[in-house]
Amino acid sequence: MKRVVPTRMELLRMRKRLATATHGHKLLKDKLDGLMNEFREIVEDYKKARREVDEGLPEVLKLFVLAGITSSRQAVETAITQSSSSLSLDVTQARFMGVVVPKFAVHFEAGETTYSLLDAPSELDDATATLKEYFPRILQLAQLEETMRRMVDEIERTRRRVNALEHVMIPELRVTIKYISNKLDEQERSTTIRLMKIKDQRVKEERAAREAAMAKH
Amino acid sequence: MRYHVIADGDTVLGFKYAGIDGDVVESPQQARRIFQEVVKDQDVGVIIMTDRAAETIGEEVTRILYESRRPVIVSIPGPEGPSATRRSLAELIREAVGVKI
Repeated sequence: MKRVVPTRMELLRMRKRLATATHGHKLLKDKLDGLMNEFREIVEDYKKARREVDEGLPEVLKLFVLAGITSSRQAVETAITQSSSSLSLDVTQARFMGVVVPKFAVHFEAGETTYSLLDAPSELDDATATLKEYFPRILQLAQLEETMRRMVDEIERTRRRVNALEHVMIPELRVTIKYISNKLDEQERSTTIRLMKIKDQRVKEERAAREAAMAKH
Repeated sequence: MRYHVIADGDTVLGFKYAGIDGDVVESPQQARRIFQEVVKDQDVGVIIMTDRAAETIGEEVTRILYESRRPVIVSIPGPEGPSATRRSLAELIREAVGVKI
């Protein structure tokens, strides 16, 4: 325990700090509960999105493996060099409960089929269309993962603070307050006793003086 | 911002058709080199990696995921399906928060 001066001022100060700490503890605990509830919902969304991508995407990608085999290498390579990036990404930030989370938005730009339809096999068109459909889902997955990661950090931080208040700061303040009030009580008692003694002595002295005066007469 | 795919040939081909640039990687060294280059590019917001590509350079991927806010890395299953050894986010969360998902 830290050295404290056992005065009434200090006692009042410590009591105030205890009130603040208790209040803060309650607030942080509410925040933690809120974060956990929100987190559970996001986890559910994530599980669903992950399952969809894990189950569906390999099938789509297999179509490209097939296309790669059936069409000439030349045609595929031409297609690749001709297709430019037609998707762009918008990243904005959202906040909840003090956590900054990214929000992604996909933009499909005009001129989607950039490769020559004559050279490319038609299965490629289907495969490409399906992959484009999957793309927002992959992005959603990325967003959810990142959100979870950032929330985990915040949850840990909040939990540490709640624990520090609950198990260290508040008990320490209680002990200090108890110590100061004990000390003050003790001081009060000793002051009372001193006063009583002084009074006793004075009464004795006065009586002695009176008796001496009476003896003189 | 842009996306970038780091994966095997077929997957990169597919994404290129869909309009997303990517690099084909065939060895861990190559994967590491390309990954570092892409991470340095300030314009890349999301990196899409197949499980197999991500696993060869797992440490680097994890480091970027946890120490940097950009880019966001998402792993997807390749044509061969989801990897059985993928270290799932669920595990990490169970360790960190104690929530079972």
